[in-house]
Amino acid sequence: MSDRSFVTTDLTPTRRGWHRRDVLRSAAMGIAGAGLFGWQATLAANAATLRRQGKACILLWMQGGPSQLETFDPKPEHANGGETRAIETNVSGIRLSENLPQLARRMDKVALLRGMTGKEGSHPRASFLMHTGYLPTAALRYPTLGANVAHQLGDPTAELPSFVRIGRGARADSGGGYLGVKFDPLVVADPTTPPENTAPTTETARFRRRLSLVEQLESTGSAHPRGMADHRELLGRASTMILSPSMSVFDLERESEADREAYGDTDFGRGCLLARRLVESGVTFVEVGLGNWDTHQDNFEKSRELCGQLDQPFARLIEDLEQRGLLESTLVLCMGEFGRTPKINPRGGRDHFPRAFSTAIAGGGVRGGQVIGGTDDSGSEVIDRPVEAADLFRSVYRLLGIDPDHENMSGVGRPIPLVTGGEFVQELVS
Amino acid sequence: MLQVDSGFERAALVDSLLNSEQYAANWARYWRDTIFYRRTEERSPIVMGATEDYLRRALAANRSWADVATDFVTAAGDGRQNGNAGLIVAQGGRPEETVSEVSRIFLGIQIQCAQCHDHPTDRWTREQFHQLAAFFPRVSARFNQEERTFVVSGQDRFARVQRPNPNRFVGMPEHLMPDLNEPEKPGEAMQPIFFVDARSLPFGATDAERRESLAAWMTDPQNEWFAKAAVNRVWSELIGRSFYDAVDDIGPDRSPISPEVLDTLADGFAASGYDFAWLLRTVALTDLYGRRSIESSPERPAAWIAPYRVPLRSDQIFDRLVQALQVNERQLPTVRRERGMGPADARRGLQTLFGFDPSDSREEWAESIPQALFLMNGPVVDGFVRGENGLSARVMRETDRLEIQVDEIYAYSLARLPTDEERSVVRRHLESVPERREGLEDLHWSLINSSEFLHRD
Repeated sequence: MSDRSFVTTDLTPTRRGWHRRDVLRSAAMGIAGAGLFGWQATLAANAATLRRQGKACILLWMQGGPSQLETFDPKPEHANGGETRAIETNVSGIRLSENLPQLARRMDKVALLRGMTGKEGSHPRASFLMHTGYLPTAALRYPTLGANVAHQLGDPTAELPSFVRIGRGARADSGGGYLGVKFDPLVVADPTTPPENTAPTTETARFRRRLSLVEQLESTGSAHPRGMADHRELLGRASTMILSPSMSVFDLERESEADREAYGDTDFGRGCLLARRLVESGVTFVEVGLGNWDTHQDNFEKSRELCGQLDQPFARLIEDLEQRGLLESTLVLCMGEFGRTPKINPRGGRDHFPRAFSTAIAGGGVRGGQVIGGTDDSGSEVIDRPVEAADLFRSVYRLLGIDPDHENMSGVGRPIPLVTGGEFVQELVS
Repeated sequence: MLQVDSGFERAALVDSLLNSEQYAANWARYWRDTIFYRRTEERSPIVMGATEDYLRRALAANRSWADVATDFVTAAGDGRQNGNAGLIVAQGGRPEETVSEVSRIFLGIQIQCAQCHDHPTDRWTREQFHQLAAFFPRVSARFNQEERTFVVSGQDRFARVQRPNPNRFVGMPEHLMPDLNEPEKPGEAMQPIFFVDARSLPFGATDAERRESLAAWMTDPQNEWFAKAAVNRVWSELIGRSFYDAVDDIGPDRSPISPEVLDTLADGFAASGYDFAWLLRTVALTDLYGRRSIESSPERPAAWIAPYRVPLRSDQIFDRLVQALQVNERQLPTVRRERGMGPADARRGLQTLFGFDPSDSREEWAESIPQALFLMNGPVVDGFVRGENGLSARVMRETDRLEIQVDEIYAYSLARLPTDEERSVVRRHLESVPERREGLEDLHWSLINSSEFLHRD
């Protein structure tokens, strides 16, 4: 028996347009055509077809709860604002904290939700809420946003997974939930090395030989044909992925030095660059984590340092996506689980504050250069256009072309909608 | 239907297994996972090891399952010292979540669906749910940052003005049922009433009275659901499918498959004084359990022809890996470290990849790509498959005889010998590779990467 049966060769068009494998295949066949158009051009032409079809989402997850006052909603005129000054952006009338100078130059692409409000002040519960749109319950394991988006939009036959999570700050337990392990993210702990266990430990010929041996041995016992078939299919998918040329998407060395430098020399910057590469290769959802925003002490110094890590990659990501024609189809979300107390505590820190905070959204059809909602002068109350988690999730799904009322069957046999309640934040697109 | 095989050897084998440390370890991990996979308090895994130890000791001593349940319901103190506090800690001490889990785990009844509205399909009302929560309002589970632990306590003295506190650092004198139309209001005080038989306590009862009464009423042989919940779970683990659609959704409004078998086992379990090992032994000695497994399929209604093939839990896969690679647990490298999960030894690391909630239907289990990649390419497997440290090299140092080498690799990897057909596949493979060791390594790798490795066949 040959090992070919481990490599699926279907050429079916999918929900996201043409199969990525077709792109690679035509790229391979394009060697012939390369004389006419060149390799890169052939690849790019196919990639462009993909882009028109697929929506994607990048979540920049600010774990710990960033201070809105040091990021998107500075209050320099009030004592609560502390030492953080505000700077002008490229949109007149909108000011950001001085910690985000590069983003300020891309403000025309970004919409700020300054009226975010909630009740959950504990990290795990709020983080769960802002990842799923629901509060945790013992009865149900809700899928995380990335899993739901991958489930709705991802190409199940693609070589690359539909949902990738980058960085160590990401939560361990928010995956596919009741959608199943199929929708758990592929985790890339360190963007400079490929995801875990994706390099065969032996040369390819021997790896294939081993796979073939598994198959031959399993073919001898037919007591569990369904299980064997599922297992064979899975080994096929896993090995197709790791032997596929698409795996080179994880190799940042393939970017020019200038392109790498543009994202900065930090893990988060490299994560954002990888996110762009993944989206460009057809991955549906990428989450990139940046941790340690829990600034109970020395808030100003820590926020400045963290914003230093966030600012350049976030700004560059928007610019890069735009230059590649991907910004319209790629929604970029930057948020944490809650905000921080406007009142500065005696240790120069700010504590948990879910009542009024901010998130930033760009791309994916969002009208940039606007502020939606707002807080009072002291930053302690939302006085305009409050937006809760359910409103935000409803809006994100809508922007991605997903029906927020779509119901999935949960483990307990009850249909659960992607979002319960909430309203679409119309201002995002008008 | 339930023929007990009286063959002496099998009974003796079952007894020796029930007396082994692995029995207590295996079921302690099963119940630990049952409790902690549904945690709503994300920091609770810091007490998980203590809960596992508590369960392991209780099972090794074969304590009555009623006493174990009572320990979990009436727990107090430092969760890292008193492992029986694990259930309360896993729910952050919040009364609604805690009683939902007590009911789900020990009675198999999902009364929490009635938290916000009367149960959609069962008889339970919203009042009944909150009356159950009224056994737990005085409990709190406070996180102790310095000691990195949770402390569970019940209090009976209160400040004059109480406000509901979502973080539950302090208890409340009575449980308040929120008014759905006016959620801002404190809600209506609920009397502790046990939904199964309507036994009740007056308002003002102490924390100890509440929780001890609930434990006593739950485990009263008059309450059939306590025995049935355990029987249903054990049957499901051993036979691969439960009497009901779910292991933890039973109760008077659900109909089991073959109720006579369930009733017989439940009555026997209650009559044994809730002797957990009796239950295991009885099911393990059935003719049914001794048969070769079959696959369940959605089309086929469950009938007890043979046990169903089930995927192994992470801890079982880990034990199998240790066996297949012939290594000491401590020789294995860690897989990865997860936030809030404490130091990840190899066993814990594997759980992040292969773990699943044992209450979930095994029908819905699916192997994932990261799991496959771990077994195919991960350093744990590769380090003990290939090269001088590999099992093949070690086996080859012991014997020159090919047939024995192949048998040993099979026996270590799958706990069985190869069939004749498999032998000829292996022979052909070995002939096609230049070196025997390479061929044996391929075989070893292939067995670890087989579907059988991940299942109880």
